[in-house]
Formats: sequence, C-alpha cells, structure tokens
Amino acid sequence: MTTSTTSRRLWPTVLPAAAVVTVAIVGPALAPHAVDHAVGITFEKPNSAAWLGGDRLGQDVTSQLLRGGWGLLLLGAIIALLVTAFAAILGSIAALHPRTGAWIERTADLGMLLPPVLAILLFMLSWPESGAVGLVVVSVIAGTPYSARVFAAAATGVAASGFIEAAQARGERLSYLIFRELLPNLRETLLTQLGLRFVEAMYLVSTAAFLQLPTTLGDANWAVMVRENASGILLNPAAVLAPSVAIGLLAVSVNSAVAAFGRGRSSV
Amino acid sequence: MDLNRRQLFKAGLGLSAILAIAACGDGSSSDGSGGSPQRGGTLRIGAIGKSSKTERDPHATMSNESDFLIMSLIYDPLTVPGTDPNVAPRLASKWESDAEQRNWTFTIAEGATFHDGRPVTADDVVWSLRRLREVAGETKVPVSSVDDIKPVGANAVVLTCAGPNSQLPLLLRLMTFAAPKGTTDFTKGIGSGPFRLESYNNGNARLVRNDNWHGGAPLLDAVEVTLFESPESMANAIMAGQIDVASSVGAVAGRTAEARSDLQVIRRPNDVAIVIAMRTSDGPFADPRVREALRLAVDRPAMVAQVLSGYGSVANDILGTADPTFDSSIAQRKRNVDRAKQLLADAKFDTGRTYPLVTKQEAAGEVESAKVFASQAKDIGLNIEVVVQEANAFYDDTWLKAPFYTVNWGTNDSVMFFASKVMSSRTKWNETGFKDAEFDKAYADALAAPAGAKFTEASKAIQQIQYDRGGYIVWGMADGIDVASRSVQGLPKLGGYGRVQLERVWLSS
Repeated sequence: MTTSTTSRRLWPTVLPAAAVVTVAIVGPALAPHAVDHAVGITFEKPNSAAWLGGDRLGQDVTSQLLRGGWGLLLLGAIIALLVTAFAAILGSIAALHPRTGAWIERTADLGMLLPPVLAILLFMLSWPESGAVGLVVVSVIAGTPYSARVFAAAATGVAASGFIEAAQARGERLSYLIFRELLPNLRETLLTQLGLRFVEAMYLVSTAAFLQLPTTLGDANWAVMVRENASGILLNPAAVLAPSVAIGLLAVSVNSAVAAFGRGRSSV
Repeated sequence: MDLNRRQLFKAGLGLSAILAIAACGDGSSSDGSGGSPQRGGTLRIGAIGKSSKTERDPHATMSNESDFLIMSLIYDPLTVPGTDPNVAPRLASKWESDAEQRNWTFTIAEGATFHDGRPVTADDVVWSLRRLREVAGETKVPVSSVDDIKPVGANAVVLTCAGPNSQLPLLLRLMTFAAPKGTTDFTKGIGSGPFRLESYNNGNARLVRNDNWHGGAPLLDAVEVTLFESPESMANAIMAGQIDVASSVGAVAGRTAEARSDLQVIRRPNDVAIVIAMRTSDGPFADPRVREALRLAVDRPAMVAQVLSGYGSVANDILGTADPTFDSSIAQRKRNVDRAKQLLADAKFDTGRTYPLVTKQEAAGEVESAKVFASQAKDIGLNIEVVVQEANAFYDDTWLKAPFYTVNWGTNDSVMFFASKVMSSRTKWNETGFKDAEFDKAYADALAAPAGAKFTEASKAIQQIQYDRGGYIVWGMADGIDVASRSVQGLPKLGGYGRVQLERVWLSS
C-alpha cells in the first residue's frame, strides 16, 4: 500500500472531523454576537438576521452554537486521552504480569458494573464544587475498566511474542517494555479506543450538561441548548436540532477519523 | 375589521370565534360565540400541581393551583374578583361599613345552602372565618383576633378591624371559604359552591353541578380537574385532546396552539407580576438614584418579548396594574442608558463589583427574567450574576433579607393589596425594606377613605411614590394563558385568581 492511496482514503473520513473541530474551536471568534444577544421574541423563527432563530430567551442561537462547542470538545478530548492512557498502561501490565493481571481484570470487571451516569450523578450532586475537574475524574474512573480489558486482551498476544521475552530477559524496566515494545505494536487498538472513548466522553459530558450538573462549561453549550430549548421544538426546531446535530457530528466524525488513522497502515 | 355580509356567512364559526376573542374587552368571561348557552356536558380541565403537595383543607395554605381550583368550585368565599369594581359578591350578597371603615357587616346571600341541604348561617360563616384566622393568620383575615368576627342575627357577620380598613372586602376575596360549623373531615368537600365533589383521587377530582346553588345552577353537568406536574405535560394533553382546557399553560404552549384551528388561546391580562426587588433600607440599592438607574436600564419591550414571548404588557414600576384607580397619567419609563450611567456615577455606585440577583424556578419566566435583565444591565456597567436557588431555600434565606432578588405575585388588580402586603412599614412581608413616612400616610388615608375621589387621590399618591422611589422594578405584566378547545365558551378572563371562576362556562356542541 502506497502512502498516496492511504492519504486518499484518509481524507474523506478526516475532513468532516477537521471541519467540525475547527468550527468548535474558532467558533467563538466567528460568532456574530455575544451569547445573550437578543434577536426578538422567545423561539423567534429563523430569519436573515438570525439564521437559526432565537432560543427560549429570544437570544441568538447561531452565536450560542458557535460558542458552545469548544467546552464539550475539550472535556471530551481530555477524558478520552486520559482513559486511553490509563487503560493502555493497565492493560499492558496485565498482559506482562499474568498474576497482577488477574487482579487488574477482576477489578475491571467490578468497575464495569458501575453505570457511569449514576456515578457522575452521585459524585457531582454530593460534591458540586468539583465542577469540570470532578466530571473528568469520574468519567475517567468509570471509563477505564472496560477499556483496560480491551487492551489486556489485545496486548496478551503481543506480550507472548519473542521480542518481548527477549527484552524481559535483557532485564528491561517495565516502563520500557510498555512504551517501547508493547504499545507501538498496539497502534490500531490505541487509536480505535481513543475514538471510542471520545464518543463515550462526549456522551457523558453531554449528559452531565443536559442534567444541569454543576460543570464549568458555561451557559451556552450544545447539550444545555438541547435541554433548555426542547419546550419550543414546535416553534423553532433549529434551536434544538442544530446543537443536537452538532453533538452527533462531532462525536461520529472524530471517531471515524481516529479509526481511519488506526487503519491507515497495516503495521502488524 | 371590514367585512361584508357574505364574507361573514362564509367565514362561519372559526371567524366568529376570533371575533369573540377580539371582542373580549370587559366583563369577567368571554362572550359565547357558539350561540346561546347550552346546558350539559363535562368539562375536562387541567391545572398545575404536585401530587405530593395536595391539600384537602380549604383553610390551609394551598400550593397547588389544581387544589385551589377544586376548592373554589365546591366552596363559596365571601367575595370574588371582579373587573370594576374589583370586588364582586359571592356568598356575601352585600357589605357595608361604618363611617370609620372599621366595622364591616357582610350579609349572606339569600338561599345559600350547603351541599347536604342545610342553609348557610351566620354561625357557619363565623366559624369558618375564625378557623381561617387561626390557621392562616392575619394575612388572610385582617382582624386582630378571632373575637373580632361575630354573627349578627341569622344571616350576617360583622368583622372589626384594628384600624380603618377600606380594603377589607378585597382582602377577603377567594380564600374565605365557608364550611359547615364544626366540620372536622374536609375530604367530603361539603361546601355551598356551584359544584359538589363527587370523587377525589390524589389531586384529581370530579365535580358535579349543584342545582341548588344560590347563584343559579351552572350549565355544565360536571367538571373533571386533572392535576399536571408540569406545564409541558399539560400542553401535550391539550394538544392531544385529552383535556378541554389547560389552565395557565404558558406562552410557549399558547403560541404552539395558535397554529391549531381546533384550539382557542385565552389571554388574561395582568395575570402575574414578575418583579425585581431592590432593598431600600440598606445595601447597594439604598440610594434612590441607584434604583432609578436600574429602572432606566431595563428595556421593557425586549423583556416582554424575550421572557413572555410577547404575551404580556409593559409596566411602569407600579404594582397593581389592573386596579380601577391605576394612574395611567404617569409617564411610561423608558430605557435611557446614558442617564442611568450618570445616576450611578452621581451616587458613587461601585460598578467594579458583581451583584448577585437571586431567583428561583417558580413563576413561568422568573429565572428567564433575571437572566435577560442581567444581560441588559451590562449596558450601564452593572455586573449581575444570576443565582438560581431552590424555592424552599429562597424563602428561608433570601426572601425579605437579600438586597436583590426576584418575586412574583399573582393578584394584580389592587394597588392597595400590594401597599398593605409588601410596602407599608408595618407589614411582615416588606420585601424591599421600604419605610417611607409619606407612603405610610397615603396608605392610611386610603384605608380611611370610602371608595370615591378621596380614595382615588390617596391611591394615586401611593403609586407616585412607588414610581419615584419604591424598591421594585416592575418591567412588565405576564398574561395568563389558557388553551381550550373551540367548544368551550364563557371561560374566565380575569388575571390572577379570577381564572378559577368556571361556574358560567358551557360547551357548544
């Protein structure tokens, strides 16, 4: 497979993600107005001055949509990276040290039984000051076990291969084994997991925002927009549909782009 | 509207209904448009409430609109809201006072009987009023003690106020439900109202016509009241045709229903006042110039558009907008950012700080009003942080104490009501810490004056003081919005608690 065909196959999957992410990041600079800019009555219909009409306070949906993405994106990305990193390390340890691995896997099985949304509700309602940091911590704790199991399963095959045994015989440290020997051979798993974890994180962050849990995402984020404007879906559907579509596009496109990178080269 | 005869014939019922709504100028209920009133039928009406807070005792504090609606149909209060005058007779057919406006005699309506057939006597009414005074306190029955409520003969009661009180008949509206003397079990719902209770289940009730009602039997066979926990679920029910009337369902549902030919939207003006209270006695808003600046910062038409969907009217910082003595000659305050900034500078107001505006999710649009006001106030350099509190916490920690919060009131047809409840220096509910000698004098004058020129003059003085230096920003008045199916005629049109008067409603087939 040559690089040119690879990149040609990559572009269509990466482009939408790049576009959505770019809009979410530079949106605040593009927004025509502040989030509380008034455009008329409650749930004003879309018009030339306000392309997506008004929300439940008669404020500009377009501006909110452009300003309301980066918070979700940032939190989702942080959670996805942390979960994937922890899970990769735990999964690798489990593969390299079968005895420790048994414990890691039992614990992971237990952890998987805890519904993440319930965990977030419990944690955030009993300790509201934790804000976005608390949300990240709980999401990482809730997301890591399952992912660690996947990594453990994927790493077991690699761990049994000759070059790992050779490295172990050389007396290499555990960190060397994981980061220099194991994980480079789990590229596809890593990237697939990263994409999946991002979707999962978006779902959790959106749920937390939708439930109006005290995060520091601010007033205008896509999930809150969906919730707050649901009552006016018959009057101005754009106020609900635009942020919903944005959340869906972000999650799905980023996931498929990351997965495409993973499939980009058949390495193993 | 310019129409010739043929167009009128062609337009038929739909148009006549529109005309009827357009013609609703006065009177307390809409004129029937489906021809002459018909007898019969069951009205299914939805009202907001929480099934965890249902109340069967007519003298207890009711937090559910649904309970209040049921009570108002099975019990008779002494007086009810009217348009002009704003007090109308009900169980009391007439009332009069001595020259001093202290001793008030209420005569019980001819032929008033309870649902079990016993006539309503002075003893029953005295017992009920005394019980209400004990249970709910002076705010419901403004007399010093239960001994100030006495029977006079078989069919009249006399109430003696502590001082002159020309407003007593108004203050007795709606809550003064009469039950038979000595009633202990209120679940039977034995009252003297236009409907009798047939069944009750967890906040939902079926009421049937009381053919012997002293006010003349209602036309409806029955009224079924359904409790809804949220306006959204009630809106869904009326859209799906599961109920005939959705009472106080809100502007968003009203606008959605406008597009439906089988539904009518009833707007009852001056229904709810959602106002911003600024503490006048101390704190950052004690300087009248600061309060003036905040009033000038409000873009009132934008507030009405954004918070109330346009279903409301702009107000002028005076509470009691539907009062017959309301002073419409006072100039409407408009937004003036430069003047507001100047006033803040004159008063050396600290614009570097952020001021919390505390609100709660109670009246529809209350939280929204705080948010929109906060974004408008940025233009005069005032930074406001909107804090949404849980309602119970609000009433424990914020109400009557904080310098800056939102309140809502659902009775806006009396200037004197607000003067007595929240602004006279002696009231327990002084939301803005308002103590103003001139105001108290005008208030005392109004209490001592019988209805007429002297009373009107005192009422206007009260309003002028509120406008100049009161503690409230009254930016607008929300319309009450009911959605009903086209066949329902004669629905109440009064704002506030007048919405419960269903005794003249009828169904056209």
